[in-house]
Amino acid sequence: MADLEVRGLRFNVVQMGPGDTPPADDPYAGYRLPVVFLHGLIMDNLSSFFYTIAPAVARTTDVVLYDLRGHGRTERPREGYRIEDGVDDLIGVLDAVGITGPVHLVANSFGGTIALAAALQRPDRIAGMVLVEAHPAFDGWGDEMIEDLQDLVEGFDGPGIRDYLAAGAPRSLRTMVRTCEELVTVSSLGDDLRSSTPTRPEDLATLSCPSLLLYGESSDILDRAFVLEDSIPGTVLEVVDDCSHALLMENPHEVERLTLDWLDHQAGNAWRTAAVPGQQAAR
Amino acid sequence: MLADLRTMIADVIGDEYVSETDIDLDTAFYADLEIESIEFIALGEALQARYGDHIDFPAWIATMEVDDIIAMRVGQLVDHITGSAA
Repeated sequence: MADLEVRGLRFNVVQMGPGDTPPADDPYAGYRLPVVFLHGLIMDNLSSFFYTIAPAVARTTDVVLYDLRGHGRTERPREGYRIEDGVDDLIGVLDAVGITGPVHLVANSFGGTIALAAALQRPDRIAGMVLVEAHPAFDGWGDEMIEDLQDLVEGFDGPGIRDYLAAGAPRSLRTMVRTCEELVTVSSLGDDLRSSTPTRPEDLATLSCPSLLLYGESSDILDRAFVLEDSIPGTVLEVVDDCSHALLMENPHEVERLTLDWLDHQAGNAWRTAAVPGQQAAR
Repeated sequence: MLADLRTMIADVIGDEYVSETDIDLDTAFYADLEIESIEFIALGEALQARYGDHIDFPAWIATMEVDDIIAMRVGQLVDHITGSAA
């Protein structure tokens, strides 16, 4: 079930979950939505969630992880990297695995860029989201991202680095460098990020799904967290001590705890709504 | 089983990087084979497809600390598969 054809591309998809026997100690079994994980840009793939919080989430509910186009073991086409493509890919993956109802998203960094756009464009499919260090596509975001990425790639031409790569650097490092170069200098990623429809704070004010924002206290994009907090109705911001933009890697246990609590809360609301219609609005 | 595993590992990593004859029970996935984290997940998927979902690779990995995963040897994976199948 690892390879799925979506929008003419082969996507690497991993599914996990409790199967037919949800844990007996889950009071909200049957009231949980599937959870879809969206990883970050360039040097990331689904493994960052697979090795951290995804298994704990999968204990009680169905989980979908996939490598974004151009990343991990998903195909790397030259084109199709606009945020809108990311949303279409997400919906396409969900359709391909047979999930046609609403889901919760858990997204890291650039995954949050896609999650925010998806929540705006497809409120019928996105019921809520946990955004870890989300990079909202505010005005100027595409230029900022691609300048950072070009600096990164130019760094590979620094003294001795090419020689080291050729002379036996670990394969994972060589893969990372090749991925960066192909995405940044060969594919249309840069142009596509720049030409993507920006996410405007005033649009975020129309979001009606619940959300949780997680940022590190020393994150270089903490300013975005405050804009999101001010813009998205009812969202909750948690700032984690002693962490940077790499929050998911630096404190996976805290990200897991906060995410599981939030998912429990959503399932609890669904349970109460079903048990006593109208109750959710009163709480 | 080791013969099966050798083939699956070589398929996932690519036979231009690893030869099946280089793989034995004492081979370390990260130090010896330089397996990438995303490849290790793909290997887990292949194992479940071959031996059944009771292997539950994600749940097994979730019981380990990162250092344990990095230090893992082929023999430990064989032990897990045979233990799960028992």
